[in-house]
Amino acid sequence: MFARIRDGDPEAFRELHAAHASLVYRHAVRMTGDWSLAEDVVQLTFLEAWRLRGKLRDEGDGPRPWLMGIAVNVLRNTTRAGRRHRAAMDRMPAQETVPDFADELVGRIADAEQLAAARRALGRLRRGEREVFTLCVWSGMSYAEVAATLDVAVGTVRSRLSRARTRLRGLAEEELRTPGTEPGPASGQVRGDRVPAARSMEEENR
Amino acid sequence: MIRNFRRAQEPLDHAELARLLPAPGDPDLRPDRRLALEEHLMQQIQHAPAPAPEAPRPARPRRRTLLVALPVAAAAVAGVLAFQLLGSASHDGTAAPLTRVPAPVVRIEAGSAEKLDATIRQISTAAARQREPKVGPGQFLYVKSQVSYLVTEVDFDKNTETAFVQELHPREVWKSRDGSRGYLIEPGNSPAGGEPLDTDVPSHINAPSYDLLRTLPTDPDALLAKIYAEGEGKGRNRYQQAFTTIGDLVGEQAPPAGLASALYRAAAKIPGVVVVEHAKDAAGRDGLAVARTDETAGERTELIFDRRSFTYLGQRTIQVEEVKGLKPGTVTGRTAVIERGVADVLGNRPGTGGA
Repeated sequence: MFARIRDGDPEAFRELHAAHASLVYRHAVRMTGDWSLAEDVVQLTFLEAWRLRGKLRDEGDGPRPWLMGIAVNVLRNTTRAGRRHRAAMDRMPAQETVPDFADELVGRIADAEQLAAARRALGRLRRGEREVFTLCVWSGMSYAEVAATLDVAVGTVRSRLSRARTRLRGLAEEELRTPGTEPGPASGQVRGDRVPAARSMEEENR
Repeated sequence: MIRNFRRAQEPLDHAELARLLPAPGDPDLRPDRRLALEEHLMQQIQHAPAPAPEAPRPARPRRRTLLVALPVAAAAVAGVLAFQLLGSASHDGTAAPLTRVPAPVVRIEAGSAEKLDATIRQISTAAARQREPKVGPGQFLYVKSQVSYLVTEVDFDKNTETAFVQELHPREVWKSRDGSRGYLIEPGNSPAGGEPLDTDVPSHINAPSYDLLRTLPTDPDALLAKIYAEGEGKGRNRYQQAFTTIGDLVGEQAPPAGLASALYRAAAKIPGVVVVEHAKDAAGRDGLAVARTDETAGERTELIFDRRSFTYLGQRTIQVEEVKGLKPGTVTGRTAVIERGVADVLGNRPGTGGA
């Protein structure tokens, strides 16, 4: 699989997409809170994987950490990745309207509130902690995989996760002390990761 | 602070972490949507020639254009190359582009389901009597066709697309029995002397090989069940996918008589399949067609047969509804099989020696 990806075998990329697009998508939705943008992140991740395929090394059990590492970079700077693949992104298949998926729509609106709340909490973490937390806890990746994804030592993954835990505990206690208040607004901003043109829910679901 | 060294290498309690900040929502990429994204990806990456990833690039040529053809009739289904690299102003070694011709527009003749059973009986009976070329070990199946496809020219600098139809041109393909080795000579698509088509991707039902065709069931129901199963999750529509697959299995192939017969009987069982009384193949031969309309793409794929001998002639795709400025009746793809034979050497035509 490694060699086929490096050699640019299109079928290997088809398999890669089939196996991991959903993982990238879930991660992207939770990091951005935006379903449409998450699809862009999925495609940009695979287009970047195609561009960078020569850099894949035979490490670990499969290409998943390498791919997620690319996804993390795309999420760090979606606009830059978007510029690089502008022509390709202009030809993204249009989102169909989804009248038949009323359940999904309701689910999305409920999710949107959860996502917004989670994003506020994530905003209290440093970027490194946030990435480790979401990959380990939400995406269920192993420490070794996350270490490979972020190109850091396994010990670093563990220590960042530990710091994330400390901060989140603090956050929980804060909320207990002042019931009903939102976590601080200014610090709730996810630094550097804001995307300029987040689409509104109404627009996306029409 | 007391550090607990014993636990320093152990994982943290993920249950607690997940309680502190639960994963929000359950965002799932719908399977059909993921497939659409996969197709998009495949189209983008197949624009680029395989080698030279992330290599230092020379100054960009002033104008870069890539020609991509939609091999509509041959294999325009998910699972096969959806776009074909035809040539590019910025890459040498590829063929000179073909002359553009206005797309032929024909009168759309309505299909009928009434004559389907009788027609299929005649076609499948004829197929059962046919003798296909026998390819021995180390030999190659050779198929010569006449083809023309709708081509989309993408100008990456201006970011514009223009569609035109290629002039009719010959296409010659050699394939080893297992499909791993091959050769292609097609003006506009291969360099002048042709090029190898070797692949390490195993043959599959939408890119079949001589050997693979000999493993398929010859009972129409079992065959159709297999075609549906293999098409699961591919293409836009289960029935259209199955019909196109049948086209792939008879097109540039040599299906054994029993299978060919079963394939046509299976086609008749697919909902929406009709008979069209008149359809011209790429060689200008007027035949009758077994056809199915893909509502999503607004196009009809036709398998064309000789109206007397009921042998397979070729395929045609016509636009039945206006999509992307293509007027109804526009012929977006035409093929005609001219010759099938057995070659001993890749790139050598049958009977021209070698072994």
